[in-house]
Formats: sequence, structure tokens, C-alpha cells
Amino acid sequence: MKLKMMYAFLNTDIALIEKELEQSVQTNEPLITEASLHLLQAGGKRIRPVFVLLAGKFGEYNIERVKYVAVALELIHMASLVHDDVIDDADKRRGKPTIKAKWDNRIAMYTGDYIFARSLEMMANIKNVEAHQILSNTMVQLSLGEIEQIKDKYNLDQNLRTYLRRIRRKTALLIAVSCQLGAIATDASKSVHKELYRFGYYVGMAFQITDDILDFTSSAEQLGKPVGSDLLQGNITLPVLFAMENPAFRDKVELLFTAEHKEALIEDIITYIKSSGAIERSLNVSDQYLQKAIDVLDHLPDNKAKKALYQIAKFVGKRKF
Amino acid sequence: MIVQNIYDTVANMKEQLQVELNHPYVKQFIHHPIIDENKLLCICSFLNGISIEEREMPQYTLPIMLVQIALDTHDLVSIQPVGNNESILKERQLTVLAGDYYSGLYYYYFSKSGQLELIKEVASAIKDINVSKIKLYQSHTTDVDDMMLNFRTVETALVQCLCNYFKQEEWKELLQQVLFISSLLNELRRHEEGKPSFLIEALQNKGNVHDIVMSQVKESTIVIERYLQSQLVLNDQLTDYLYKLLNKHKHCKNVVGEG
Repeated sequence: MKLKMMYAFLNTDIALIEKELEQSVQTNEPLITEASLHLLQAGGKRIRPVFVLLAGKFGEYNIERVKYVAVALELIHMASLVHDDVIDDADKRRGKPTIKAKWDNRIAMYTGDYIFARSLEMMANIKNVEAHQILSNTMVQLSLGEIEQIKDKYNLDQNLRTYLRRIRRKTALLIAVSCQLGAIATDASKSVHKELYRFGYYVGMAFQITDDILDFTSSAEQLGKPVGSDLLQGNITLPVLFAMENPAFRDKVELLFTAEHKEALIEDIITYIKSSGAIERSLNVSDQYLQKAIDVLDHLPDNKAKKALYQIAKFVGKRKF
Repeated sequence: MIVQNIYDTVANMKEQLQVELNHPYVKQFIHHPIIDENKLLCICSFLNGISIEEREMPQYTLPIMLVQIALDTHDLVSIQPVGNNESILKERQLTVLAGDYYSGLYYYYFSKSGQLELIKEVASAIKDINVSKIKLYQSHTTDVDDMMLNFRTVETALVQCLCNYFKQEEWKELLQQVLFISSLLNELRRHEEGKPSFLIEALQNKGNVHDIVMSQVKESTIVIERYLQSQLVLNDQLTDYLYKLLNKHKHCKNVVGEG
């Protein structure tokens, strides 16, 4: 089943969120509007808004209220992508030129700051202090996670714990709070929004691990960037960590980090990762998180949203791009 | 209640800010952010002037200053290609992230104290500032008044939104002029020292830069002089600063006259 089919009952509301997203970046400065729309229209899974809306179904669902959280979280994600492209010095995202490539770093910084401010403006429509405390704490954690990622780049002395802590901050927290804030925005009970946070956290961890696997197993076309580009940028992900248990492979990675011409080396490295069992072991870790996510769903009341969350969790483990 | 003088308040706020900015990893790779002490003095004087309790000062001062520092930090992100130079790339990466981190902290502080309305006001000011920055950066307009309007927004929107929040029109007008003049004179000084200033660079084909800037400064000094004679109670440190600013302006004028 395709991802969108799993929550087809939300189609009208998702279309509304899409419209709100486009409206939210309209300004009297054409360049900011153009740059933001450029990113917005490049697509994306909109997974955070979907989680917000689904979680909202566990309370007194009102799209006119929950939309503020859904739009705010997607805008936060977008703002971080714009700045990430400056950080990674990336020229392409989803196969299209990045804002920093089409204009320059300065425009990317200003556009990212604008989008982030716009997200907080949207979020401020939710008059619930706890919701803001949760989100703001997450924002700080996200930045610290990114700083940690820079710190850990090209560092071969990492372990599973450092990797998991990094992806928790990098990806899982924002998905977890998407679920939690959706529920808070519709006044779901505390126990429900806490369970939804746990669900989102586990799915988020699995989502990032799957992303890290796909960096080696997908094609450049599907990824919109070269295969193995995370490793080329010095990021040690789970498949690499597992494969590095072989000292000879570890030496190859070390060589890659210092080599001038990396193309031949990366191909060899990808081939080894695929044949070493590292992919299967990483999938196994991802599956464990997904199982935990599914177990959490047992504690939530039955409804259409719960069924959709179950299917999404299943999908995350099987996705191919 | 212990009543501190404004000197102690400013020093105390600066110290607290430095603690917040002190991320051990970031500071290894980027310059320690500069705290705009004029803005800090203006904010503390304003809050003090409207009788905000000393213990409540940080909940307004810290987030506003953190936003300022976040935006200033992002201004430092370089646009030059880095090639294979990892250390320059790392410095750039951490500059982006340090700014994002300070932005997150501002939101964290406002939500911690439950000031949801201020979150909205400040977010709106950040939007305006970035729109104005892009207009200035792209030199979208050739109109001097427009350029000055954008520059004024960049330099004063945050303090203005704090004044709006407390509905203090007089303070708003005064601080807007003060920050506008001090920033303009600062840009002029930077330009004269051979440092980049995209405002001054954009003004260069509009006539004599010094004359353009000084005519803007003159208009603002009239407003400041009026406030120095008014009933608005200003503390000694702010009053001293205003007189220094007016003297600096006179000095600049004399330099032009002599030239």
C-alpha cells in the first residue's frame, strides 16, 4: 500500500495544510517567497504534519486549531533543511538546486531565519504554555544534536550509543513532538500525548536508521544525491559502524577520509557494506524500534488514526526511498 | 528588595548572557559572539524605566539579546567557496549552528516564562528584519529613504517590539532613534576603517556617503535632544550615553566641515 493511502481519510486536511504552507511564505519580498516556494514545491513526505493530524485525532479534533501545529512543524523542518544545505555545502536537494546554490549562503541564512520565525508565529496561535515548552526544548536539542554531528564527523572512534544519541536529536525528537503536540493541540489526555510521544520517538529512530541504510542501498536517482554521500561527508552511520567491526574495513574508511580522489574508494566501501551483513543488522535495529512503536499503540484507544499509525510504522521499515 | 543601579543591572545581564553563549564545542571554532552593549543598555534602561522588577529583567533581556546575537551570528556566514578547506568549512558550519542554537534558546526562555504573546511579537520582528536584510543585500531599491527604512528595521525592530509589547510609545521613539544613529555611525566608522558595510556600499553611488548619513543622523538627534529635555525619566548611564552619541555626531560633522 502506498504511504498516502494509509491516511486517505485526511486528504482534505492535508490539502489545507499544503495551502497554508504556501500562504505562510508569501511576503512582500519576492525573493524570500520564491526561495521558500522553491523548497516547498520540491516535495517531501510531509511526514511531520501527517503525524500531527493523526495524533490530533486522539483528542477533540479541530483542523482550524491543529493546523497551526502541523504547519509550524513542517516550517521548522524546512528552515533546518535550508540551513543544512549551507552546512553541507550541498548544491542539490531532492534533485533540485538548493537555495544556497541558486542564490547564495547569505540568502539561504536569511530565508531559513525567516521561515523559522514564521513557524513560531504560527505556533504562537496555540495558547498552551506546555506545548511551547516542549517544542522550544526540542529546538535547543536539535541544534545541539547538529553541533554534535559536526563534532563527530570523521571520528572513527564512535560507538552505537553516540550514534543513537545523535539520531535521537537529529530526527526522532521532532517526529516525537509532532505526535505529542498534535494530541496536546486537541486537548487529548496527558497519558495519550505521552504515549504518542513515545510512538513518534521510536518511529523517528527507525526512520533515520532506514535513511542511513538507504544512503547505501538506493540509487543516486532515488536519493537525489550520490550513493554513500553521508559517509563522503564524514558521517559515520549505523551500517558503517557495524561494518567497521572488521579492522580492515575500518582502515579503508580512514583512507577514504584522507583521500583526494574518493570515487573509486567509495564504490569499494559500498560493495563491502552491502555484503558484510551490516545492512541486515541495521535493519534489525530499525525493526526493534518499530516493534516498540507498535507495542505503544496497544495502549491507545482504537480509531482510524491508530490504524494509520500502525500502517505507517510498518511502511517505515519497508520503504525504498 | 535590593535595588541595583543600572550599571550593575547591565553588567549582571551581560554576565548571564555570556553563560548562555558559552557552548564549549562551538567556542573552539568560532569567535565568541559580540554582545551589542548599546542595545543591552537600551533594553535594561527601558525595563528599568517602566519599573520592571530586577528579578524579572532576565526574562525579557536575555531572549531579546539572544535573538540579536543569533541574527548577528548568521550575518557572519561566509559566501566564498570553501573548496577542500575543512577548517573553513567547519567554522562556517558551526557559525550556522551557533546562530540556530541561540535562536532556539530565545524561544526556550520565552516559553519557560509563559510569554506567548512576546514569542509572536518577536517572531514577527525577526521576519521583518530578514526581509529588510535581503532588500539591503540585494540592493533592491535605489531610493535612499527606502534603504534607510530597511536599515532602521534591521537595527531597531527587536527593541521596538519590546516597547510595543509594553505599549510605551515614547520609549519606542527614543530608542529607535538612538539605535538608528549609533548603528549608522558604526557603519560609517567600519567603512572608514576599510571594513565591509553593505549599507555604505549600497549608498556609494547615491552621492557623498558622509553627507547622506549625517543628514539622517541630524534628524534623529533632534528627537533625542527633545527627549533629553522631556519629562521621560532616563537613568544616568543612558543619559551619559545619549550625550556621548550627540557629541560623536557633532565631532563627525566637524570632520566633514574641516574636510
